Amino acid sequence: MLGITVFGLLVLLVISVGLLYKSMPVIKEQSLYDLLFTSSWKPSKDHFGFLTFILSTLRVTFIAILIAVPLSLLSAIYLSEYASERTKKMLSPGIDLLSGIPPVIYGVWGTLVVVPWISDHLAPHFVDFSTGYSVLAGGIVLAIMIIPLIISIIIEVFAAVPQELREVSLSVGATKWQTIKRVLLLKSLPGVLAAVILAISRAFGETIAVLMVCGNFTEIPKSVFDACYPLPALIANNYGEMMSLPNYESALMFAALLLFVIIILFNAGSRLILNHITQRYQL
Amino acid sequence: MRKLEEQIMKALMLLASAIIMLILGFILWKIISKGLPSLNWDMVTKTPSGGFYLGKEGGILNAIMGSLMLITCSVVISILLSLPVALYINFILHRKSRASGIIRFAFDIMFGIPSIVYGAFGFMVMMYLGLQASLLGGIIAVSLLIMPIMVRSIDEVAGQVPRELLEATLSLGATRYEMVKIAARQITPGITTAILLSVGRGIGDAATVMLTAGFTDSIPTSLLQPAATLPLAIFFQLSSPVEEVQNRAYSSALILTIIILILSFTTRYISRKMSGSKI
Amino acid sequence: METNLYSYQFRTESDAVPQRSAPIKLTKLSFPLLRVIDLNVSIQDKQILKDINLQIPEKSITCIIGPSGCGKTTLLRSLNRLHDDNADINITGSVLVDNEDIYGKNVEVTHIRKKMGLLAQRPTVLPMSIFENVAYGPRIHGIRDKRKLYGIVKNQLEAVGLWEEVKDRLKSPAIRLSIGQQQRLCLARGLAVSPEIILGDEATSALDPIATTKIEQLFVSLKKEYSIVLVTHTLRQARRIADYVAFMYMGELIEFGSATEIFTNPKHQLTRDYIGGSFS
Repeated sequence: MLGITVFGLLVLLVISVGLLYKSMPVIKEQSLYDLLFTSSWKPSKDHFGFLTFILSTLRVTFIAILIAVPLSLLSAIYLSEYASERTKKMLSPGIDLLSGIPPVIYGVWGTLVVVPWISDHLAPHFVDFSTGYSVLAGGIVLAIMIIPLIISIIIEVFAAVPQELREVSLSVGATKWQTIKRVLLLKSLPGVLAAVILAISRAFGETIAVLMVCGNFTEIPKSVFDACYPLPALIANNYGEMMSLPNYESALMFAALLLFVIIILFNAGSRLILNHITQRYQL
Repeated sequence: MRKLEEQIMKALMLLASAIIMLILGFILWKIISKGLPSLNWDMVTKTPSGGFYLGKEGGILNAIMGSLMLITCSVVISILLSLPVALYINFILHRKSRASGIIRFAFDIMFGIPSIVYGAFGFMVMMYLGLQASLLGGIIAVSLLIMPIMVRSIDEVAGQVPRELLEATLSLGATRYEMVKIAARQITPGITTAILLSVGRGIGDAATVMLTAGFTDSIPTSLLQPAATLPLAIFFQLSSPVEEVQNRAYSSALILTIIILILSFTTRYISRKMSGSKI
Repeated sequence: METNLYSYQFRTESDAVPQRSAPIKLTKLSFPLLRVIDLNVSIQDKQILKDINLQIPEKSITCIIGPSGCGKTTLLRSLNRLHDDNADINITGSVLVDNEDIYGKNVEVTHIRKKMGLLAQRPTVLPMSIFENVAYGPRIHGIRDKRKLYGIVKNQLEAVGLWEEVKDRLKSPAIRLSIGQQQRLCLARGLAVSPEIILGDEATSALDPIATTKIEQLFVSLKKEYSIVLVTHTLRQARRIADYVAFMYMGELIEFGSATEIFTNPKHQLTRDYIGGSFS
């Protein structure tokens, strides 16, 4: 058992070393700064600037979180604190079920509904023209994909808060909402943050659902109605041709390494902060 | 004042819940209404014939079989890897020990790694071994993807095994290894849920198989042949300009959704039974 | 049954610690602060409380005693309307506080609960500092002024004898206090919204003998200003501090009277058996 555990941990190491090894050529050729902070993407001229993709990923993720977190938090509070037993029994299997639906389905729905809606109804109010395949479409589809995930985690977190704590607050004459605001949310802060962190990781690395609706256009998007090109989509779209050009493979592996490193730093960092909060405030 | 604030917040909560439910219901309805018309027996019993992608005869049996083979092998491999890990950090080491914490943290990090990274890594391994895109490559990548999911969910149920039970077995003179066996039997329903959960996640993931398993119109007969998978079948058919092929993408999506729903109901059923029978 | 072994041993060591004051004459009951009229509580179809009629005298300690499962805790929680959120629980009858029915139509539940401080079985501190725990109630009711809050916190912590022990670490998390200190903190938190009634649900069952004594002494001193209703299933505690005793059995109120009456000359056979220790 120890052996297998060590093997499991080694996988993590091998992934990082392997990706790093594979992306060395392109790192050596260009400086790290050049790779990360320039945006010209010319595989045929052997120049790779990832800024467009990094910014696209960040923007899509940001929009998704912006939409998903408030909606899921409100809905989770409603389902766990206000809804009647019957409503809960009806809705919570639904949420569970939807958190299992694969990204590709959300992608299909995105192309069927979100993209035309943006192009025909929303974008004309703001810009001259948009195909609908855009940052916003990616953000919306991702948001809807991660909402069931966030809700089901937060509901569990709330359920773990002892009932006595709520009663203490109620018994000094607090309203239900005051109790939620001042006690429930405080007590479950680490859990809620953990849910958000997981959601961000999931949104950040999601490939197919975003790929299908974001347009995949190699230029930094000027508005949310412009097409964009997130990192995972870059890898998925080009892996087929990567043998044909020098250093192309290396560049794509660098993209994977980038995702990997960002996710690890983000998770580790937020874990440290969470532990700090929990310790400091004894939640 | 306080009452008003509560009313406003409550209205917002209701609104948020309603929006979410409506959208999620809308998604299901859209998939069903779009997918149902082109869904027929051929879809699930035939492989693509010549000209399938131009709207001719055939079905997606290749993708269904490919996905099933892929997920079956991956689940077997990753349960063999993740069960020992979960048992080790819970019962051999103390559940709350520092070493357990570190291992758990590592697997939590693996849990967060995007599937495309596992795909890229799988691709790298394949190149290193000199393999083409194949069922085997897909199995490697998907196994890696679902291993942390399994570790995590088995770890969760393992934490609920009462310590007294373990101490009782030890005090009866059982060895540590025997104790672990008893603990493993205690969490069997939890392991089943973990498996179903990973199947759901693994079967629906496109990014890993895109880079590793390739795509083909026939059902693979060996591990070294490429394999079609459902998510990719949906994706490729949807990219086609031919309307009939697009419609098939919708019905493929419906098939995948139905598989996921069945898995999900089974999971719920089992976990309900589990909570009924102690543990 | 968590019969309290500790408190038994403790009793044999120092018998007379919390002094029981002479029972107040029953005539005072003419204007009771809290009246329970025909209260029926059922969970799903199972009736938990049957036709409870009870008058809680002002400024004294009333102990509700009875075997486990007799409905003591349910009764206490009904007084604070803590069953509101449970759709399975059905309540009929009325509970009058200051001649106002708390189950009446237009009554605001927060208003009712402010009048009663609740002390739970185990100390439940909020995940905040010691100061914030006590200041929680006043803040809820809109007091923002720092100096005023500090004054309230100091007063209440003094009232429960905790001030000297914690005045240098008001900002540290309340969870770091000992369990006995936590329970006194909870009492202070309840008092900070200036209630008229204190409800205690086996409030000492999680505490050691010394902490128990402290809480009991506190109750005795607090009854000058508050009406106190305690659920207890250690008879000894009732003997030590009760002015009035209500005996419940199987969801019914069997007997109510002054402590001396109940303990020396109970009218009902069941009460006699329970007091005598035939069952518990």
